[in-house]
Parts: sequence; structure tokens; C-alpha cells
Amino acid sequence: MACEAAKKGDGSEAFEINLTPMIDVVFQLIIFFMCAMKFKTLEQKIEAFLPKDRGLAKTPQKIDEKVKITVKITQTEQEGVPHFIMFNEDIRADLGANKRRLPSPPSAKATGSALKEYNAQREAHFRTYVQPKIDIIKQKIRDYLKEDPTLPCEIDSGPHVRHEYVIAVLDAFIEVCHEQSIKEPEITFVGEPPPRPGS
Amino acid sequence: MAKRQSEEAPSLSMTPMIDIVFNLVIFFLIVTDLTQKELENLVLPLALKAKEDKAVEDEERVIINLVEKRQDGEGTGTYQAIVKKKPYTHEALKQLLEQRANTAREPDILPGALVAPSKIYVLIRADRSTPWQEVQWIMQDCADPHVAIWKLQFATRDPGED
Repeated sequence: MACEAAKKGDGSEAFEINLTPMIDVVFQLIIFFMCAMKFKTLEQKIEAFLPKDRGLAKTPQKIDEKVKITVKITQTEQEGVPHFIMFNEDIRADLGANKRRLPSPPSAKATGSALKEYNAQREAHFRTYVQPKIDIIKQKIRDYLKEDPTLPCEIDSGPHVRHEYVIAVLDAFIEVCHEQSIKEPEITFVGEPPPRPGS
Repeated sequence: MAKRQSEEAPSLSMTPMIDIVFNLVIFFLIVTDLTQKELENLVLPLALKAKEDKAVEDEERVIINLVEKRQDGEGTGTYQAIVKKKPYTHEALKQLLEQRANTAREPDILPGALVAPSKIYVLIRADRSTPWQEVQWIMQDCADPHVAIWKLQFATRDPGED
């Protein structure tokens, strides 16, 4: 820190501290640490690949006798929870005796805290009623892939199923493939969507 | 001596101010992530095995936000694709995808295909409540024989956020 003595008009001396270099250095340090530190990632992603050679709708149905691990997902509008079906076995999300449904979305005028509370309720609903079923699916996938790691995987989702349930199943497939060191898992989405309204 | 000093005009040193202003400019340039401007405010689905979404060059990826249309503040159950804050109809989105796909294609056309596969990525950002058919329609557009985009990404939420 630089200190300098300045002579006042009456001859007495006062010490002045020049803060500029210190501020410069502090700012440089802040910038250095901002650059050096790892920023919290805002989002993550799951990669998926479509058939490279032909369009989705144009892909001819292959006659394939090989067993596939298919997870079929359906969802009823009333309950708002998914039914997962694997090898004809219905893995239903058990809502319990009180038939607890999805929390109702807050009104349009809801404030930030109401939205936050709604999201927390949705999260709790997912963890309580859906996640245990995803864990069962994961275990089943694990058992099948342990026997034959080359088995192709399929997700057959109904058009009204919520995006988060499809992603949860895709995530389960990826997790098991990762555990079993399957580097390029073959996971296919099957099922055609209904025609777009107005097309 | 004292008399001469009082006659001099006071001079303002601009150097420290310029230093600070430059530092502030650099600071805000670093902390402002421009790519975040393409992202709509959505509650994404949770995935445990998702990868960190590292910044990708803007030319290499189309970010499609699927946002529920609202009327008088209430959700209508119909969804709209939004790219860079601009809403797109189905036809316009397909046109945009074809246009972007044409900017970077692989060198070889696969047998039976109309065009070579595109190198472009498509990131689909859909709210966790979005019906799957909305995503399927975008996948259909990507897989159109004239578009041939095959590299898709689904945006997910970091489990650590909860």
C-alpha cells in the first residue's frame, strides 16, 4: 500500500493512502477466481439418437425374433400416474388407500412461494408413488441384461404420458447399462404419436 | 508557493475510474452466459445419469423449448415450440430444422436416404408435465427424410438442485 506525505498549506504533513492500486488488485483477484472456479451447472442432458438412415415414420418394421426388454408406459388422465408394463407384468404406481392424486397446479396469480410449494409437492408425489416403481423396473432390467447384455431395450410410451416418466425410464436404462459397462446401449423409442391436430 | 497552487485548476485523474470500469465490463462479460437467453423457464424432468450440459457452439445445436400456451394466465393443454424466444408453428419449425440441418451434413448419403445425416444436435427442453406426444412430434420432424437430424438431447434437471 502506498502512503505518501503531502504538505498542507500550513506546513503540517498528513498521510494519504492511495487506494487505487489495492482496488485494482482486488478486482483482478475477483476476476481470477470467477474464471478459475467451476460454475454450477444449470442443466443436464440425456442424449438419444434417432435412426440415422431413415425417417422415424418410414422405418420398416423389422422381423426380429430376438427378445427385447420393453417397458410400456401408459397413463390415465384421472389418476395422473403412470402404469409401467414389462413382459406383460403390470407395475402400477400404488396410490395407497387414500388414492392421492397429483397436486393441483396453483392458480395463474400464484406467487413464487406458491409455485415453489407446488413443485415440492409434485416432487414428493414422484418420489413416493413413482420412484419405487422405477426402482422395480431398474432391477428387472438389471436381471435381464446380466443374462444377456446384448438385449435391445425399448420404451413404448403412450402419447399422454408425462415427459418426466419417459425420461425416468430412459434414465433407468442408462443407469443399468452404465453399471454393466455397456458403452453404447441400444435404446429405442417405439410407438407412433397420433396425428397432429390440424394436419 | 501556496498562492500559485490555489490558482491552478483542479485536475481529475481518470485513470482509476477507467481501470474500475474496464474491470466491471470484464466481470459482467464473464458472468453473463449468453446461451441462457435461449432457455425458457420450465421445470425439467429429473434424471440421475444425465451428463453435464457443456456449452455447445450455437451453430451446432437448435434448442427447442416446449411451452404450454396460456390463456388468461391458465394453461390450455396445448403446447408451442419456442426457439430463441420466438414461437414457431409446426410448419415453421420443420422448415427451421431443415434449414439448420442443411448447414452441416455428414459427407456420405446412406443408401436409400434422400439427404446425408445432419451433424446438428437438437436439444428438447420440455416441462416435466408435457405429454410425450409433443416430444414425439418433434422427433418425427427431426427424422423426416428431408431433415435427417438424428442427434437428440433431452434437457433434465440436476438432482443436486432439490
